Amino acid sequence: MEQQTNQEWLIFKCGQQEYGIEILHVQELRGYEPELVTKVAKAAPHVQGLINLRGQIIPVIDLRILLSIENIEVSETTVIVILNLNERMVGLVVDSVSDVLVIEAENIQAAPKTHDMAQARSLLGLATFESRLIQLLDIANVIGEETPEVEAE
Amino acid sequence: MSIDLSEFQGAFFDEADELLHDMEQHLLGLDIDNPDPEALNAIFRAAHSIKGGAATFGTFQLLVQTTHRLENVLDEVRNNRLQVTQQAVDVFLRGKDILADQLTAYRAGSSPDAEPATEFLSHLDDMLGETGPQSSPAAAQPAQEPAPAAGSESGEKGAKRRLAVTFVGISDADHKVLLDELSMMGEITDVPGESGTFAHELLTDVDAETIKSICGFVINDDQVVIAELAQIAPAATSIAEVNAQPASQPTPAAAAPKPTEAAKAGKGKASAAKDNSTIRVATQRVDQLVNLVGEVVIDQAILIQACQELDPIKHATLLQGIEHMSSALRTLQENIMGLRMVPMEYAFGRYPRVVRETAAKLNKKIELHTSGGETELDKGLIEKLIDPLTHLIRNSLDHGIELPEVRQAKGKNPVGRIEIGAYHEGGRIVVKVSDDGAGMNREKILAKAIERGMPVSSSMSDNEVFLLVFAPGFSTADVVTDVSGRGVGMDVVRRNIQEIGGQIQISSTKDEGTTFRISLPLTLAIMDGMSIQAGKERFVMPLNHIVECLQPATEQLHSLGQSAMVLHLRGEHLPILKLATLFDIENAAQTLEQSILIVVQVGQERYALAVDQLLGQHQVVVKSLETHYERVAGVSGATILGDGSVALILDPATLFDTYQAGC
Repeated sequence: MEQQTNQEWLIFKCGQQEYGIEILHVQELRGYEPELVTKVAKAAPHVQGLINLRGQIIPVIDLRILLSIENIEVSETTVIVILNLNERMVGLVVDSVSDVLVIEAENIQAAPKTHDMAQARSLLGLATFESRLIQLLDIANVIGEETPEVEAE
Repeated sequence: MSIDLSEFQGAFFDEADELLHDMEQHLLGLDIDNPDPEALNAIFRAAHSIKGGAATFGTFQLLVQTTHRLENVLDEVRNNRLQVTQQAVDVFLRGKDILADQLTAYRAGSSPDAEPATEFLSHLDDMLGETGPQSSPAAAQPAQEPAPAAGSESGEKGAKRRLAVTFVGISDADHKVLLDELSMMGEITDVPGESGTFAHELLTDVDAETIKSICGFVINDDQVVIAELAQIAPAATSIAEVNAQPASQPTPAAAAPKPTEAAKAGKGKASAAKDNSTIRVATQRVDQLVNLVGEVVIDQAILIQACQELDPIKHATLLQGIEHMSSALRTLQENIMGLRMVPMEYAFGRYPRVVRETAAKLNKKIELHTSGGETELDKGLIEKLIDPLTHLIRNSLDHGIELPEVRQAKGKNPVGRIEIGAYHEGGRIVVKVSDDGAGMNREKILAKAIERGMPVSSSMSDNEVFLLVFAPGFSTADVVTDVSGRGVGMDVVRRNIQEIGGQIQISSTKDEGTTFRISLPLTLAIMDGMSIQAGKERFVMPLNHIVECLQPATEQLHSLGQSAMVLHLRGEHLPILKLATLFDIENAAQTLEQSILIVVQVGQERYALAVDQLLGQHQVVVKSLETHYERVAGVSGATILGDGSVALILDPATLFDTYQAGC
């Protein structure tokens, strides 16, 4: 994957782990109000439903389910990270957002090769920052938007 | 050239496209035996205007050349020096295609292929060659340079005018461009003028209006002043008129306008008024307006909801204001939605050509009748309808209508008839394509379907059987007529129509013909809906599908088999679909007696949808789910409710399909 130097990353927590998403994909953060999410029948379990973002109807995905995190709770810090991936918008439910970090390229290592291919595909790399270990996500891969051009026909 | 003409080029291309379209319409509508002089004039004017526009840019040499030659021939035609024949119309139509191709090439920034144009021009020369002694050699060999217009619009050939053309407040560079332009239209001489202006006298046969519009490509309208100084005797060089009109015919400088000229002036005014009454606006901007007004409608709904808790006496002014705003907003919304509406003629206009050409290829004789061209429909819908309709019409031509001999043997008129029509029906638009051909063969379709292993039974209704031809890979050619067809899937037709919220039905009688009936929503962007609730979830059901709502009595409900339920309503048994089951909703009403049943009609089918509650009627703005998400079964889109939450809009047709698929 492209490894530009000194990118900015949005850092958030799901369960006990810290994750990062390229800040360029992030459009905004919104509070999570489950009652404003409209359920969609027969959708995949991680698809929470649809919300209205200033007149746009966008899907909300529970990232914690995609990351196989158990004991999903809604707390005051639970937020929706609105992403903009090639003009397609999607909201991600995460436990809490901590900071925006500039991570130098030398502090990013390639993702270790594990037997879990899906896991490997969804990681851009591992970053260490002041003794914290942050998993940098290839978010398009995680939510199954690998080829938006094809999907959008 | 100091000015950037590219932005004018866009306007020119759009206009030229429209002019070509007009030209085609008039050509197709032409009665060969008794051509309407108005139509001939209109065809000529279209060529003339395109040439005028193209010449302005200097880079469209081929286009200018082609239109110029075409214009010359058309001029001969409209002045009755050249007989209109079927062949001539064909050549002109071919010319229109060539011009359209050239425009497309220029628009894409490339150079058009000169070969078709050369061939076309030689056809034109042939036509002029056939005119015999009437035509002078000069007319048979039109000048190569794209310069003088072959005649003014008035048709008063040879009547040259002396015009005072004054430019005010323009740059030297613009002036130079304009001078080049004017010198192409006639003789130009400089006259002294006030400082800051450029004054000229132009001796030309082009009328002031045309000059002004040509200048309009470079400068603003108010920067040019054109005054007619005098009309002088026809120039002796004028083609073919030398003998007919003695050069000595007196036309004094101050002569009173001739009657023809007065008529022309009146006509000029009328056409000017028409020009001013429309403006060209990008569809994108209209869409933006539609979206914005949709947003405001939602906000207004939020306000109204919030105001319901207020004391009506204390807040009388506020409530009145909001009420007034609501009604104004509704009008505003209707008006803005109206901007997107175009007459069906927009689509219908292109089919005479399709029919004419396909019929010629197939050696069939076919008359096309259109009706309801004035019916208005959302432009986006019409554009998506054009291809499916073309396909249906081609299909009718190819497989529906028989060869003339066969028709005669059957005792039918050897000339086949295809009708396309559009009309309103219950808040929807119905578009019909019918032919008086051989009709569809129910048995053959069924046999074919069984052969392909499709789930069919002989008890299916005719409509259901005919709809099988829309199944992917189901070639109508083998089935319906034994003529091998192009094999392009009719499934694409159905898919396209379903995508725009349309339904299609077929009725057909052997040897009497086939009718395709497409029913479409008026617009995709807004609709009247009933909001309903099941459990905690809210949905919107399109109002135009709701026949009635009722609370069922126990004796009206009957079970069929394991889980299926039917509603007995005035002698009819309707299947009952539970919304809560279809959408996996928790906490919904447990029994049907506690539910409300909505009787829904889709095409000829009816069913009852069980919901917990009816919340009320709203106008809702339809939003696509696919912009950011994906298609959801049973749902046509979503909308935003008064409290800002999202509600799914049910699609009655696919809802029933989902149910039948075993939900």
